[in-house]
Amino acid sequence: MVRKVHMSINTRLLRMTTRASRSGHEGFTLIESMVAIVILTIGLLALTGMQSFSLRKNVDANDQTRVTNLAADMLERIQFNRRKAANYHNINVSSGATTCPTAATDVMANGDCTQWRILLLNSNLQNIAGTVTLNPAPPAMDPLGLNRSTVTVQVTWNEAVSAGVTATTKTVRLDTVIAPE
Amino acid sequence: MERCTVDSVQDIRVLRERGFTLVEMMISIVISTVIVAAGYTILTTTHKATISNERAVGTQQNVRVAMELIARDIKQAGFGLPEAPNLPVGGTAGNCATGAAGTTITAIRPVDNNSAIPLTAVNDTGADTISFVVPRTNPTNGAISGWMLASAAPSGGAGSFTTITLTTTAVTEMQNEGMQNGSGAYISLGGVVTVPVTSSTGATITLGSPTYAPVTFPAGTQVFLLQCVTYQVASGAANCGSAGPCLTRTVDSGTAPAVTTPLVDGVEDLQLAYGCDGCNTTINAGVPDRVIDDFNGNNTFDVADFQTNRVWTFGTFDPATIRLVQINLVARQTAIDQGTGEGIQSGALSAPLQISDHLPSNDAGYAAATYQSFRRRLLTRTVDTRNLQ
Repeated sequence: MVRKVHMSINTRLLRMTTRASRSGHEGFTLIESMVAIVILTIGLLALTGMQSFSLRKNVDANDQTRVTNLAADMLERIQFNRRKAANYHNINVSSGATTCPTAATDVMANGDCTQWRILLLNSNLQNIAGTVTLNPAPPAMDPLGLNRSTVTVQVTWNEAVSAGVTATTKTVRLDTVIAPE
Repeated sequence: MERCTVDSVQDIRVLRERGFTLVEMMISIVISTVIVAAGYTILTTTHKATISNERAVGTQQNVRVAMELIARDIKQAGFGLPEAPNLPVGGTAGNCATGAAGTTITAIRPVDNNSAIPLTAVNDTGADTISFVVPRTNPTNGAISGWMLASAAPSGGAGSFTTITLTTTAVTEMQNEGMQNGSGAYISLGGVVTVPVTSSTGATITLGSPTYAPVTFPAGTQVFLLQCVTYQVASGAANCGSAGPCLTRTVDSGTAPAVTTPLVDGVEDLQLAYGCDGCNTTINAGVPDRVIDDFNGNNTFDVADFQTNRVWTFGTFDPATIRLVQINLVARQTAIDQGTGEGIQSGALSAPLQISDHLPSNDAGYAAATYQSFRRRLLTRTVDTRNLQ
């Protein structure tokens, strides 16, 4: 019993001395190093994630430029056929919809709408859809005595996303005033 | 008891002076190597990705800028130029001249790089070229914006005028831009009247024909010098200042030598198709009816009614009837990526992109491996030639 107590005191002394002596030359334990590596890896993975995020945003930016050009394309077509701008009201095209003016009404408006739909679908953007609206339709005298109308060309599509991420809908909307002369 | 204590002290000494064992060393070396290798890989990957990213951004920016520049100029093309052809002019014509060199001018003139391709061939080679007349002004003239009339024309309410007086150095600047005396250079008064120039001295310009304006042009009216500009795709360091292809803009102004400026880097292809109204005499007896001529005769307006530039030779169709211009622009990276692509890398493209009537694999010197090594960006837009109407 006495001996045991003595031993325990000695052991404590030994531990204390050991700890004191190690404090100056102490290295990292394997566990500590591995925890550090895991933390570092998480940080570095985040960095890599930034690169792919950046590349993806580049693609988005390019899609936006393409869609802006497609919307401008329709505006220019309406500008050419401005005397019949009213025919372009309520155009609605997508992979499932082809609401176009009939060729019997206006061969140009019909052709523009059909060609525009093909251009939109050829862009290979997800769920791309385009609409044209006039306000007022048909163009009418405004308080300034000018016969004109605000034409709105709107294109919506889903942004390209990686698997498992919900796609967000993007919109490009161009407004211009067209006077049918 | 005693012994036990002594042993413990010895243990302490052993612990304090102990080194690494070989096994510990090897394990730590392996671990450090793995960490360093991973770090280095991430560093190089990040570097490659950054370069790819910047190249992609550059390509997108180039094609966007090129499209904006061409579209803006096509919208201005003509600028009130009298209906062509058969308008005798001299220097301004340059590339816009059709028929016998320098004799007639057209407001817009499609040119094909390879006119040897027969009209019946489906696929063209090479990029297209387009020339058109656009107004030139001088936006960087200190407090004075542009070239302006110093006094009203006609002065004193006269019915016609043949001379105009411009502000300060405007005439000198216009001469520097190529407005030569008697060269047949054309100027536009406020975009309303287009007249030829016979001589210019001091601050005065003498016009080739008396102008009867329904209204008086007040002092401060903008005066534009009409110039013929040409857009085309060039390549090589001599033309572009860099190895890659580029879009160039040539200005023909008066009798001075044409000036070609490399405009946008990386533009590889420019393809143009034109919708015209009243160009085909077999359609609606050649009378313009605000409907693009139905070339394929199917009573609808479709892509086939856009005529590519091969048919726009003088005497076939009158370029002044062009109403819609469909622009296709392709830009590519100016250098090849070292990995880290978007999936559109070497071998991913089964065939070259056909742009309008141009199939790149028909081009001389086409190599599939080289073609597929570049990331490309394509933009399409249709533009209304509002100043030709």
